[in-house]
Amino acid sequence: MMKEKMILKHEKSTRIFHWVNLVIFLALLFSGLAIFNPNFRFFAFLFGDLRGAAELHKYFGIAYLVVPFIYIVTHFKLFKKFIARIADFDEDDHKWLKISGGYMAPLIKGEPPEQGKFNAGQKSLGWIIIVVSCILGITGLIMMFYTQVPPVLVRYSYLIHAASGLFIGCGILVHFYLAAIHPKSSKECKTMMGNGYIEAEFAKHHNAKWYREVAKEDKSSEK
Amino acid sequence: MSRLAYYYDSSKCMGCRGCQAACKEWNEEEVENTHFEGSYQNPPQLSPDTRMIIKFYENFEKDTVPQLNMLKYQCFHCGDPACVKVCPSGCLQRTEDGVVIMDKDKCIACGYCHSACPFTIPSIGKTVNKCDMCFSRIREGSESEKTSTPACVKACLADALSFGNRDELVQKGKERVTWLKTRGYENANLYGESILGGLGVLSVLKDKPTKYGLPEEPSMPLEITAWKDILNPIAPLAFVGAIGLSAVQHLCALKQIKDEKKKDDTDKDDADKGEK
Repeated sequence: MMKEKMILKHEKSTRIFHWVNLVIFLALLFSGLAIFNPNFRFFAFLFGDLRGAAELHKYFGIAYLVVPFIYIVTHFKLFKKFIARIADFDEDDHKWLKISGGYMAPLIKGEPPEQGKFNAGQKSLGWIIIVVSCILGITGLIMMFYTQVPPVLVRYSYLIHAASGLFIGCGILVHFYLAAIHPKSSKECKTMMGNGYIEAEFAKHHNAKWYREVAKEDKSSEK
Repeated sequence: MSRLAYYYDSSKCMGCRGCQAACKEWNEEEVENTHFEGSYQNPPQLSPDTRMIIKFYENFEKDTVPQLNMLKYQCFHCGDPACVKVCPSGCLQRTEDGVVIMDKDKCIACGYCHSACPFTIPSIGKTVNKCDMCFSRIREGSESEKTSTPACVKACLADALSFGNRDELVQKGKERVTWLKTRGYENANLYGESILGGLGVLSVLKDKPTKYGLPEEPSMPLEITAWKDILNPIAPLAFVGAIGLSAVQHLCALKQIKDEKKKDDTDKDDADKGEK
């Protein structure tokens, strides 16, 4: 049998960054949930006890700000490209969002339009992560240096930090499901977590616009 | 169970700070090195090593009678304490008789209580620190008068402090305020009778609360209620929702795959028939 054609979707640096960010994010989510809500108190055992969770939440929080900063500075070109991709929201993307990308068929019917390297859902998630992480970072810093900040501001930070964390926690849960468990799109998982390559056939169907882009580049490089 | 409270009479307090010294001694707290910076108040603020201070509001203007307003500043043991509401570890709790106590072993030093408190009183060093009504004395002490009152009350020379049944002390405070009014203190008032679920420290003030640096009508901050009473209970539901959404998508995907297979089969059948 002929070996299936594979194309590179995620650069090595992207994959390493995704891994590091994943570990930091999960540590923050679990320690944060343990502190925030009594129903999730059991997560504290991962960090020794609740005090350990509170202590580590601060250090991981700083890492959550510093690591992306380092990545952006050292890989500015990649980052710029990524931002350009997720900022490009065209007619097809709006259509895609309207029918939830066909993921909810037959509940929400419609043929999903052609997508780029990232589909409209992934683009939205990209923005959600960037914006909500900034909010979490700012409110987190306020909470860390609470004696230097007016108490009203600190109290609103508690509320906003908790709400944002909850929102992004739920968002990442769905992100994890779609990328790792969903029967039709779970190929993405081994691509991002593994060697970065994805089946050409899969890309053709899921990321048609990007596939053509890559194919064109291939042809021109062959010449 | 009847509620316990302190009673503090600022019109009797002479600012000797005997209570401060007794407080430090009983609670075994470090003495802080401070500098004179123009006020007799010392130490300048509450800290992880200082549970209580007498605040001095000095008025030494030329050609007027010198005035000193003093206030015993410490945890007010609210009837509806915001610190207890926000404490994530169960370190801060309120007893049935109205003492807001702390279990330092449980403290995770998050600092929520400091910012949630309408007076920003709890101080956090390695762990939280604030007045606990000398819980070790009033609970574990003997029944004798010698050990069953807080250290500060025991030390007061001016009869400005009492401790006991809150209802009786409210009555006492009201009488004192009426008396002060007849003596020309028109703005005299009893601070803490009903705010924040009724304070556990009843202060007889000679003047408006604002002259003592106290908020007139403090209340439970709205953002604390939204955070702990609304967002907190819906948090598990949000995750259930996210899992539910994933489950629905999964069922949809399975259905889609089944349909596609069926279609493929019928297509094949059609093709076969066509060949025939």
